[in-house]
Amino acid sequence: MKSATRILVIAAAGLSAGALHADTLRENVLRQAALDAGLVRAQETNVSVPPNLVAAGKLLFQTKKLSLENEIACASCHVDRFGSADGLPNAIGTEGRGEGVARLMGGGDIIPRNALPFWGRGGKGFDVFFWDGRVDGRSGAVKSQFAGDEPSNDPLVVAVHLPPVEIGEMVLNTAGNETLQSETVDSAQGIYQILERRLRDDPEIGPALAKAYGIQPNELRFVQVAEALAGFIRHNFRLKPTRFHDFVFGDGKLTADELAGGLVFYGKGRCATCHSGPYFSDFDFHAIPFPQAGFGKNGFGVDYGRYNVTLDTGDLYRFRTPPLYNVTKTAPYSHSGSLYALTDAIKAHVDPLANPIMIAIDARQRADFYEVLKQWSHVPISGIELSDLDIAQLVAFLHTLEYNSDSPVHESD
Amino acid sequence: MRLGSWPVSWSYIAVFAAGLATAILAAPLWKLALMRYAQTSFSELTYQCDQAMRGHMIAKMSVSKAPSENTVRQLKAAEIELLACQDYDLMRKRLIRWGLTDNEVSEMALVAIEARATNLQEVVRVHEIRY
Repeated sequence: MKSATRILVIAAAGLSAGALHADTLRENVLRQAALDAGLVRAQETNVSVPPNLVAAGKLLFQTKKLSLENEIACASCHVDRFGSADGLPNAIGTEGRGEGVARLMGGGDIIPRNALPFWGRGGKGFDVFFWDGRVDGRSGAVKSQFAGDEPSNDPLVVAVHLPPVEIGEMVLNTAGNETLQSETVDSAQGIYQILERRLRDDPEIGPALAKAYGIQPNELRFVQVAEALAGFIRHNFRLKPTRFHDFVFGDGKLTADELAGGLVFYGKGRCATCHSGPYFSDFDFHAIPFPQAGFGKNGFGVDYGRYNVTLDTGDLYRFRTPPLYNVTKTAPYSHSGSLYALTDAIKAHVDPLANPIMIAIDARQRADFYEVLKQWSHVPISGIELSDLDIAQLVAFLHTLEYNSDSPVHESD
Repeated sequence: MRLGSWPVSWSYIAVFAAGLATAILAAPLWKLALMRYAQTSFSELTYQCDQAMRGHMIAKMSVSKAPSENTVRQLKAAEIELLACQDYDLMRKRLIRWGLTDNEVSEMALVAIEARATNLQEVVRVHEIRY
């Protein structure tokens, strides 16, 4: 009996060793693939921000005083429980109230794009902002709508200048604001001056911001407001080590599904072709044939994406590769938030016709869709077959990229 | 006790015959059951490995024809995809260890090919001599 037990134990050990060997091979392959694709330790992307600037920035992030008519705060659409996005297909700007579905049902101005989360924004090498990359610091000089009059050489600071002057986003779309409809640099400067005075006179924000800069409140300028806001975003949402970092750089373990999903990500799925680098984004622009939800940036259910910035027809329907940290928390997905399930969003990358919505669209929508497909056909992932199991494993892998911010945020007024 | 001293008994012969018959019948039944049980997984791995090998070959040719960061990245991804062939080979060896012959595993591979084939040309493509 003892001998029989011994034989069984040896046999079991032998079988386990075989399985372990196979796992070790896969683990090594995945680690190396992640490093080859540019993954670095989370801390290497962090940019240090003075604590008092972060504190002042948090006050700004949470106040509606940054909105011309005191309508909306950054925290209204960048909500913790939605992974610092808003949980809606298209964002609801001014006149919106509440969070999530309540905000959608309550009316308000629709912003025709999906609200982006803040994870990693402003970290080292994170220099392209918004779905269409309208603020782009990759060349070393910041390119933006300011067209040479950029208020800062920090692309994140330039980026946070934009929402407070966007009609419907933080400025009411009313008859009294016709002069602002042009959204010119001059009209923007007018709004910045009003906000600058308001925030400088605020009994809490003014002194906190002035203290951060070591100046008097009456010396504050809007660019310092933007710098504080950028500082808070940069610090609060900075990359932190995830389970995947622990696996690649430490002795962390992945489950069998997470490991298999990682191998699909870097292998069969070709995901890392675009979702590469420290942020799982190449910060380039690609056409992925997602269904379009809502009116679209260009109207009638059309969004030309990057083309709206460059006017280069080669950029039609292209959008910046979204980084993937906390992607599991930021549904719905795509530039127009047309897909609620992450599995559907992944499927749409490789097999867009599989979505039942494609049967329901009309001839005009199909015509637009064919244009997107023409652009997509040049993307390496077009036409790859991913099984339901592959996609489930990819989702398991993406869960390993989760982490939490330092400080909870909410509207303060 | 010596064998020669055993009493001749029809019951022993019957048990022996039953055992022999069971052994003869059980082997093919076991193989049939095993092939049925493993066919779906084996078919999937056969397909995945086939896809991976073709993808890898194309990726290598792309690098050779137009070396660039993008084509090299595609090749690296294709190399990782080849792990499917490792899984395929492992399953093949396990099936042999569990009693199937090479011939029977090959039969499973043919079933896998046929499951994906929609017309005769696809079967021809697998079997024709190419040079």
